[in-house]
Amino acid sequence: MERIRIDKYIHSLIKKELVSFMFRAILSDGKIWRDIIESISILVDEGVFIAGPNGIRLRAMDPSRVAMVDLELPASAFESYDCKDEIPIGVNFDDMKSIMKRVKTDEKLSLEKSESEARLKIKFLGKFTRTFSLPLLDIGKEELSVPKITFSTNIKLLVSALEDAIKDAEVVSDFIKIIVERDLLKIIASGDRGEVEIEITKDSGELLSIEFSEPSHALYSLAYLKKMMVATDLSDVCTLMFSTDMPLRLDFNMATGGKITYYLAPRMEAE
Amino acid sequence: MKYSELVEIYDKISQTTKRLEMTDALVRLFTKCPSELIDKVVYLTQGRVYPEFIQLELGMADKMIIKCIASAAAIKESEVEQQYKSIGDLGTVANIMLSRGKKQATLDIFSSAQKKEPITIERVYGDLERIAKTQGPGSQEEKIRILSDLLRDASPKEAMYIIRTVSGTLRLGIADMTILDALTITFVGTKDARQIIERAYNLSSDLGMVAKLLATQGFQALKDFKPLPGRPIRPMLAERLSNPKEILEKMDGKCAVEYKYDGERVQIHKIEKNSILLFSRRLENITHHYPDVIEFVSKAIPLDSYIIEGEIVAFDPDTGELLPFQELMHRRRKYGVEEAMERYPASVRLFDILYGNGIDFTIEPYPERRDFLSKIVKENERVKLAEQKIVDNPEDLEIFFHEAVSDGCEGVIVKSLSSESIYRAGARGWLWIKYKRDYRSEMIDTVDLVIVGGFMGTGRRAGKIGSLLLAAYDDEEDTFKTVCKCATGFTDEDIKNMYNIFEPYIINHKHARVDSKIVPDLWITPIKVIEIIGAEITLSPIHTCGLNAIKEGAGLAIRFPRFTGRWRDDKGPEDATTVKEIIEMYKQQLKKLREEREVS
Repeated sequence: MERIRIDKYIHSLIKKELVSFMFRAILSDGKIWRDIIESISILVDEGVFIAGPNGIRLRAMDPSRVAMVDLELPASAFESYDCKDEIPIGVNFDDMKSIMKRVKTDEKLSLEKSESEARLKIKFLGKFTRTFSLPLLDIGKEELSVPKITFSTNIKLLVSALEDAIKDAEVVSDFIKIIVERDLLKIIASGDRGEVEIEITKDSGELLSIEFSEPSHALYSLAYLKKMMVATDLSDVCTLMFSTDMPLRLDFNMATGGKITYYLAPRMEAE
Repeated sequence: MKYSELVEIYDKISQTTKRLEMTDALVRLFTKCPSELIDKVVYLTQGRVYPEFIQLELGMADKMIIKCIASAAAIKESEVEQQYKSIGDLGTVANIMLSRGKKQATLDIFSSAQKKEPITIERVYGDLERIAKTQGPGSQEEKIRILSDLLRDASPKEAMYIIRTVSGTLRLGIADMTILDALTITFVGTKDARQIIERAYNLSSDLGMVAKLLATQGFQALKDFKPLPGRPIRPMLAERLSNPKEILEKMDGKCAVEYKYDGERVQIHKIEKNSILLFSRRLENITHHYPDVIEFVSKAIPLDSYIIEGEIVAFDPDTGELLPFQELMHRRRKYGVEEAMERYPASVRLFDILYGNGIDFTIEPYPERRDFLSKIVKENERVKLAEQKIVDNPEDLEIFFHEAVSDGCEGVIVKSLSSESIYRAGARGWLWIKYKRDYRSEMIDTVDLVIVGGFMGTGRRAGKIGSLLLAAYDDEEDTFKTVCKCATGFTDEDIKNMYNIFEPYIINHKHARVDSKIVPDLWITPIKVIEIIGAEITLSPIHTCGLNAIKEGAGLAIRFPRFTGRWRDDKGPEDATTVKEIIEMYKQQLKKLREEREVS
């Protein structure tokens, strides 16, 4: 009963204001947007969403240019989505994160940008409507391209397994070595505090699939990998790709549609 | 050219203290170096990016450099900081951190699909230049990014020298003269060439440019080298003596004596169709500190291009009197220049010309230079020629010296008149001799002095009494003997009322009890007493207080006197400070002067 009244209210709102909006998108679960913002803000302070007719995307590199986040959220991931032209929406992620912390369970989320205002309206639609208005940033956007790499490995595994391995490795070191050989994913860490070796195999059920064209190994910073584990809230399964001494790619596919991809540059052995 | 080749030479040089070995290493470097790169190599070897006189700072604080090392070595900043605390050299820290750690790559490397190549000198220089030129909001992040990227691509040892260059701590211990030696050996070979190369350096203050000219155009280009407006000339310096007789002997019995003003030595450069530039004695560009000087100089010197030397001196626009050096230092600031200009106006006293409309005056003898200077300069209220006099006996020199000191100068510069008296850029020699005060007698207490005369003011004080002639009481002769002229410390209100206060006492002749060599605009009957504080008491040929007491022919004067604001109406003229007391103060406070700062 309650639900229907809200939906009606929303639709009446949309009808009334539709003309003046360049962009409006409604997500059936506000917490998804909260998690998305979280998983971007771990790498960058500011960034530009590009809202286009087919959905929202964002690509950003962390200031030290070691890691990149690439978000794709198609129109189909939204309950309703309306955007005629491509518009940039530059935001400060700390500010947006603080706003999104206020979202409650079962609240819908509406994102709106009118033509005239340099603000993004963030509406929480629940028992009652709360509207935040976030000033937008005019950020000159750098056209980022994702690293063009042919990965020699492609591993699908449970996010929880990867997260555990990272936590284990952190006990002894601040970076890990990832090795793929035979049908085995091996994660090794060593430091002054000791060594740890983690094997993830298909038998355990944690490794869903593993493909590789050649045995591969590379070093990656744990600080970055740990940050990326924030995205575990978005998906239970992730896809890990890498090649020897090349960047790593980590894909999180959201159940509701959409994808977050991280790239992470390797650490090189000193000459 | 690979940066590692430069690093190899750096290593050699830092392992030796022998100048010959350093020279050898530099010769090897210059021989290998492509000629279009040699200026950059010279600057880098000097631990900088530009010649000294271009003050483009890299602007990277230690904190920022620590960030870069941490980022390149993929370790925590706190770890770098800790190492820095125990080692004390960021370069060594970078070396250790980068050899130990597994270096963090960036994604950029993989986007551009470039193969990693050893870094070149061109790359290092280009990056440092970009760091220097990145300014304004967000520049810190950009500078950090550029340096972090450079460090990532560098070997640990390369990183060490890069960091030392950036933090201004390269300090290879190579003197400019060693670089000149190496350039001479590399490009010419003969000893007499050295002098010509050194001259080009002294006239340009730019070793990089000299190296590049040698490498690209050959030695001949340096033979014809002339001063270039816009590039400061390394200043000619004076030897020091403190005995007028000795000085005159050195000068063959006759010489010019110039006031040595207590200010800031300046080289004024005018490039054709361009604005004026000012350089300090240390070749810093001080143009933006003195907009007023530039304005008055441009009116006074009608040449299209020139290099002229002078001394900037703070002065009191109401009296035209020169003020001590400390006043001028208020002008050496980054912000609030306009305000400082109002409060501490500056004037300039010109004393030499080194270049004018295409003519190299540095090769002309001093009398010709001074003569030309006095012909072209149209003096105005702020721009004047330095006081100068030709003397041929120690007594005249001594008198002129005391005049200079009581006019607020530090002493005099004695200059040779011989045909050899060219401008020796960058050299200290006996063509110029400074004769400075050896002793000073600081004033601690105030004195109460009797007003015996008045001078009409100028500027804002035009038409009013602007300064006062003051005297001490001689209780033996029952006379009043002059000791200073005071124009400072009076409020506008004081100045306004001054005439009314003194009107009843103005007389048209010197009062019988007043002993004065100075003739003021108005004589005043010695009745009024005021309280005065001064910087020090000096010997003076023009004041009568304590005449012959310390030195034959010299009296005592109060330097930089200032009215404290107290009219001592409670005191009669005979209650004023006595001549004896002033002589006593002079003796008690007399201290040997130490060379506090080098001005000439």
